[in-house]
This record gives sequence, C-alpha cells and structure tokens, in this order.
Amino acid sequence: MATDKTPVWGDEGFPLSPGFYELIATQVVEDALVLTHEARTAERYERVAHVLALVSTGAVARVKSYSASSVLALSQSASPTYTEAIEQGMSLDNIVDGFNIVGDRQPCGNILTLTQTVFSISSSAPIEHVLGLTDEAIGVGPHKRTVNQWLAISDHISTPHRRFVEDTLAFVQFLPTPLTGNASDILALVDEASITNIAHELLLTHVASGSKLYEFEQTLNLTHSNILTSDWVRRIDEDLGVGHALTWFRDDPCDRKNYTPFSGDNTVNTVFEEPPTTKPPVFTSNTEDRLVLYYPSHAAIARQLTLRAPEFQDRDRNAYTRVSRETRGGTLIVYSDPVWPSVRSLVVTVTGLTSDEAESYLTFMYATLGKEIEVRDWEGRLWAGVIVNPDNPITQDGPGCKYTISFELEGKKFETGNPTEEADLAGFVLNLSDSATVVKVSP
Amino acid sequence: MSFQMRAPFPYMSTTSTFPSPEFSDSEGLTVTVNRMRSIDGTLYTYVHSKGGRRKYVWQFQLAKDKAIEMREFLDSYYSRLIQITDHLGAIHVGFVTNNPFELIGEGRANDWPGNESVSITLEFEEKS
Repeated sequence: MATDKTPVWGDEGFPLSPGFYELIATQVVEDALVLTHEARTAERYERVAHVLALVSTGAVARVKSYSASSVLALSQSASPTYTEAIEQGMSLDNIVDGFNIVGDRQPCGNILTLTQTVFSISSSAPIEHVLGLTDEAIGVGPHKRTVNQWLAISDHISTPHRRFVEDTLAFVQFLPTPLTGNASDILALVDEASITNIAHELLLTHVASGSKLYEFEQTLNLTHSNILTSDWVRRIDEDLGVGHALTWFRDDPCDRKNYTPFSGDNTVNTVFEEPPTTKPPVFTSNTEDRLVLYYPSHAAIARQLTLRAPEFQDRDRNAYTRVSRETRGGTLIVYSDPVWPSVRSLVVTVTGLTSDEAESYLTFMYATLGKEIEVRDWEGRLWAGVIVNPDNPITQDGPGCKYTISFELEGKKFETGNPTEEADLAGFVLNLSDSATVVKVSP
Repeated sequence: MSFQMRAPFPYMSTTSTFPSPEFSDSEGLTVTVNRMRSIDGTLYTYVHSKGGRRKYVWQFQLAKDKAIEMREFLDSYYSRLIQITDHLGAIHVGFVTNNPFELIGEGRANDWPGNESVSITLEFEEKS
C-alpha cells in the first residue's frame, strides 16, 4: 500500500532517516515472497534436471515512496538417488534501482551473485566442488568465558559529494585443469592467534583518499597465480671453460706482398679485436694539390696552404700506450687497456719550394700555432691534428726553388676519400641552399 | 722461408706472413751487468740474467699493402703475446717492444701492391 503524502524533510534539505517515518506507517511498502520448490521421485531415472528460477522485484513509484524492501528466499534441492548425471544451478540476483539521496537522477546498482556449479556427465572420476563461507565461533571449557569471531567482507561506498568514485573488492581464485592429472591451486589468507598472544592482526589495507581532487585513482593488486602453459624440459647447462683456437696460413709469395691476414677461429679468448680481413681503403691521390693544409678543422676554411708532394722517408708513426714491466725473475709483462689512447703522427719533408711558398708556410704556422688543422695528404687521406714542431726551420739548399720544410702532425686519420669524391665527404660538407621562385601567372 | 707472426698466444687465431727480413738483423741477450770495484781493487759484478731471454731486431722491406697489414696486426695485438716463426724456422714467444712503431716510405715500387715500398723495423723481446 502506498500514499501520496509529502515526506518529512530535515533542516538541511535531506529526507530524514527511516526511523522518523514510523508515524506514517502507510508510506512503507513491503513485499515478501517465500517459495519452496521440491521435486522428488521414487522411480529410477537416468537423468533428472531440476531448475528453479525466481525473480522477486520490489518497485515503487518515483517520489511517492520513501522506503522499499525486497526479500527473496530460495531453497532448491535435487537429490536423485541413482542417476548418473546431476545438474544443479542456483542464481541469486538482488537488484536495486532508484534515486540517490542528493536528488540528482543517478543510476544506482547493487548486484550480489553467488554462483556454484557442478557439472559432470562422466561417472569415472569423482568431482568435489565446495564453495563455502564459514564463520564459526566455538567456545569450549570453563576457562574461555568469551568467544568473539568476526568474518566480514565489506565493500563500502559513501560519497555524497564526489563526482567519480569506483570501489572494487574482489577475491578471485581460478583453477583450470582440463587435462592434467593432478593440480593444486591454493589462495590462502591465514590469520592465526594462539592463546598466549594478546593481539594478532593481519591487515591488508588499501586506502584512496583525496580532499580537493576531482579524480583520484589507486590500485592495489595482490595476485597469486600458478599457471602451467607448456611442457617442462629438464636441461643442465654448465660452461666448462673449454674452447678451441685455430689458425692457418698459406705460404705463397703473393701472400707475402698483399694484404692477407689469415683469420681463424677462437672461442677461448674473445676480448680482442682481430685485424680487418680487408685492407683499409686507399684513395687515389690528387694530381694537382698533393699536400693541402686547412684551418680550422671541421669548419669553413679560413686558411689554406697548398704544397707539392713530400719526399720519401715520410713516416706513419704509431705510438701505443702500454705498461712494460719485468718481474724479479726477468719475465717480461706487457699490459694495455683498450681504452688507453694511441697516438698517430705523420712526419713529412717537402723540398723544392719557392721562397714565397716557404714564407707562406711560416705564415700559416704562425697563424695556426697550437690549433687543430686538417691535412689532405698525397694519397687523399684526411688527417686532423696539431703540428708539434712549428719551430722547425725552413732551409734553402740551393739557388732558386730549393727551399725545404719539414713538420710533424700529431692527430688522427679519417677514413675518407679524395675531396673530389663527394660521397666520401659525408659528415664534412654543409650545404646551405636558399632559393626564391616567382611564377608569373597570366591573367 | 717466410716470416710468420701469430697471435694471441697461446690461443692463436690470426696469422700474418711476411717476407724474410733484411740483413743486419740482430739477436742478443737482455742481461745486465753492474761492476763494483772495492777499495782494494777487487772487482765485484752484479748481474741481472732475466732468465736468459733474448731481444731481436728485424728490418723489413715490404709492399705498401703488406706494411698496412703489419700495422693492423700490431694495432690488435701490441700488448698481447705474439708467436713469431722467424726466417730461420726458430719460434719465439714474446712482445713487440718498439714504441712508436713506424712505417717509413722508401720509394716507388710499381709492381708491388700499393705501388710503394715501406721500411719497418720490428723490435721483439721474448717473454721468458
């Protein structure tokens, strides 16, 4: 029974708690449905299916009711004695739909589902399926005066002013065993307290709080999984430190002149870098400018000095950083770290220069004193470094073009080609292009 | 007979062959003798035998490409034990000790790989 009377409102504009409605008993709607469905048989059947599905709904009209209750009690049993197949399903749904207390129309949902299913069409293997929520308090003996036990699974949302709140409490345990003969999956939260302990607490606390935030997310996941997805193969690996090294060579007259390092195999010591099997590139020499000095290095050329090719007795000097020691017994030990630097130098002597060229050389030396320069040598190799003996004098060995200079460049060599080979100059050429195009369109 | 260098000893995986060195190669001990004469004229000597190990100097005249091969070989193994089979067939194990190591252009060699002859001096000391 329902009435059209106006509800009693509190001072703050919210409806009062149900306790204040007891003077208006006609505003309460109650709907109770209790059913018992039982199927029994004394006969022997090969299959008995027993399904009981009930829906109990308590619905009230909007605005005109202030309290609604819906009670659904179900009892279902299937107990055939001699059947080979048993199916039993029970579904309990509790749905509440209505207004929230603030007054805005918001969806309100409450779903409680307890599902337990046993399904078997085979009589060869027993199936035991237990879903139990047990809360037990037992007090035995004269000395235990009080026994309190509290088992609670609580999921609570109370948020009249929050715009977005999501709260989930889940206990999930999943055990798929389609083909295995034996598998176990245990998820246990155990809290034990012996009689000698005064207080014993096992707390899993997940708190999300915010005062002025519109959206706030916090996630705490406790996952226990034991999944078998593949076959296990037992294998034992052990490195015994045994390797092999193999080298070979061909004693041929041509191999004593060509670049032919014979590289074998080595699985014992691999911390070194073997020499390259192919010869480093040798570029064609420039027939015009055989020795050109540039300044600065790796930038637009500000100074340039062009000389003729140097004389023979040029030196490609390679200095390594290493430590040589002799033990007390006279054994020689040499060590070098790969990161230690190695210095490479180019020593050249140029003869047959004119007095102007010799003077230009001195001018270039003075202008680039102690600075890094680039040198394009007679083989097209590009060097970058510093001339370490700028005080080396020029000498006139005879009348006319008989000036001789000599210098030592200490730096490093780049594996690039001749300046005329543009493809080999990648990284050293900066091209800037600025263009404007006007297209005249006839009317 | 060629001149062979192998490294890294004893797990050798790289071998380079070179022509026999020039004459004037040398082989000597690395020992030292210090002389001390007492006030009465007695001579005392203090020796450092260094296990009797020897030091070798070889000079090569190589084609330009072969000289580059020797430079690359030493770039890889200049601090590692090297086994050398010399032009006499003798086998030595030790280190190349000349530092810096120089490639000196000697002259034109049109029929040689690289069209140039390069002179290299190799100093080598046995380990023990």
